[in-house]
Amino acid sequence: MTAFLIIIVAAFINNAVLVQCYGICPFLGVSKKMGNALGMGLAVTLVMAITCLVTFPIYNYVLIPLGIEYLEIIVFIFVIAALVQMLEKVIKKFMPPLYNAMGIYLPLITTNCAVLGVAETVMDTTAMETIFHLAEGSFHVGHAVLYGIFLGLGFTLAICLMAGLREKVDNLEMNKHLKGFTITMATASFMAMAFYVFALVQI
Amino acid sequence: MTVKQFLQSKIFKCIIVLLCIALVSGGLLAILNDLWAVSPEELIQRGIKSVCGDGVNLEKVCDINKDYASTNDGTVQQVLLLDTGDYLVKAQGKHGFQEGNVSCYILFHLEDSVYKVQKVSIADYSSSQTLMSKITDSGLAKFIGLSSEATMKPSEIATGASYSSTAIKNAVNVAIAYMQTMN
Amino acid sequence: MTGQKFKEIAKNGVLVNNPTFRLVLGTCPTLAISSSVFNSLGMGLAVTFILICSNAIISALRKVIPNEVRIPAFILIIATFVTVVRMFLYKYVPALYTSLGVFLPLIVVNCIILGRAESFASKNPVLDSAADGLFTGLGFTLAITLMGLIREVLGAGSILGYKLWDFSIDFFGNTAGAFLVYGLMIAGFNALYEKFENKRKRKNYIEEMQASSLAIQAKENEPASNADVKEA
Repeated sequence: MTAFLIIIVAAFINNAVLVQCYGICPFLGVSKKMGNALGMGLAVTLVMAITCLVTFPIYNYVLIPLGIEYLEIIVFIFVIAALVQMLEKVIKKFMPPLYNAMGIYLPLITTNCAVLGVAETVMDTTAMETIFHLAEGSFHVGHAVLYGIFLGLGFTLAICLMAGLREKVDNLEMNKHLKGFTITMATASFMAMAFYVFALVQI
Repeated sequence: MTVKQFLQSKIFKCIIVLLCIALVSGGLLAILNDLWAVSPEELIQRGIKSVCGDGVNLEKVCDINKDYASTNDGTVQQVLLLDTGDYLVKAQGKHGFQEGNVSCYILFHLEDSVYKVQKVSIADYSSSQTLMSKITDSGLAKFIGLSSEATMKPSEIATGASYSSTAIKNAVNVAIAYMQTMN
Repeated sequence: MTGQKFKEIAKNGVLVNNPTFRLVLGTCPTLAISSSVFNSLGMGLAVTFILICSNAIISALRKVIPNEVRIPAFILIIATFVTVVRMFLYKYVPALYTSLGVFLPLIVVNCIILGRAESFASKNPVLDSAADGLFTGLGFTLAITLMGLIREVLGAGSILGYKLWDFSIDFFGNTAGAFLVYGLMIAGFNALYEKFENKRKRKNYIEEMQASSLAIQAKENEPASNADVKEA
């Protein structure tokens, strides 16, 4: 039940792009073609899952016991940068087809706020337990990774929907100032309205 | 590569520069962290401010009577006497949705020599779009609507519709039961 | 630093290269935080402070930091100042700390700051860099506050928490409204900018024509003046 709740909240109710405004840059920049959008989305999902797996224990079992939780921003950004570098090397060596599909997006992900955002969200166990109504001390690394994966899949969903819509919208005739950025934002606005309905879900 | 070569190499310089920056910034942050530490009293004051607004101050932190503070449904965590003569009780309700706990601030106002519930608000409550905010919006409205004519009978305070409001209800009931023992 | 250069930096930072409306950088905080004037102003000032400090420090250290590790070094310096701002807000402005939430640490990955460090501060002297940070930050603050103003007036019917009227459209307070308002503002600013650009081009063209006609006149007068000189 907890897992189901985490999936629903991460993918829809707290959708990374359309509700929380994380990762707008790739959402606008890489959503011109469906294939690119899917590659970017899956790369972000992979990095998010690994980030949650690594930063959650670092914060809760290393930084807090040592009393240096104020260094969390510095530690997280370097951990994410290092992870992305390593992931790129590993994928290039062992899975060349996957590297061809999403390799070029990996370096962009270091400065994607969605990844740092999810690390900052899941590390706060008290807040997460409040959100998911869990008993004290029961939010563990498995929950964190699940949240990361499904926040990433929510991002993938949003960016793929956007790509599908943009393939149509970008070909329309319109005022040159509205064309491009503005019409993309208006499309995103309508999508966000649709996702806002998920917030009315009462459990 | 000999040690001397390594000491003159670019890699060594890079490492030294990065380490120096890291040490300086770490030291700066450590000092500022001590300098700007938030004391527990300040946190209590912030809790009061979030419930009662500006201008209300703490009179004293009351000792909690351990015999009555904890029941099967919840725990009284803090009892604060305010300078307006009201009591602010921080209580944690159990048996919420998925056996989770919810911490609430409950404000008691003395009226006709009984303490009545005046306001309930969730502690550590953020207003972002989450499940929590949606549930508490509807759940809290019930309590706040009820509180103006709240009686002191715990069973009548409210019947929460959702699981989460069970925890809120438990917190309120524990606080009311505790305040009755104080009278 | 001369007054001329100072003026140029100010104009570039606030108007010509406005980070939000012209370069479309730092979109995430712009969309997420601009639901009220108070939050926008807080976010803008926090970013401005971090920009000034990080630009100054990076510029001071630009000859020390080896080129190979400049990005990690920049991020380290920026992250330090973000942490300082976060601690300060937690201690002295807890309301702002709560409402900025996770977007406060996310200033680290804000492209405006890293962009200015990379393109300006790592090449220019300290004072220029600090001024650039100040004006880029002010440009960001003005833009995000303008958005906050529009969204708060329409979405909550208030300014800085003071109620104007009871009428409000919830849409503008949500993410959906943020997307739409931002898109329309970009379109509006692009149109305005193009208008100014056309005007400037026309003015330049006229000036050029005048200059060239003056030059022709001068050429015609030249022999005469030379003759005058000889006579003298």
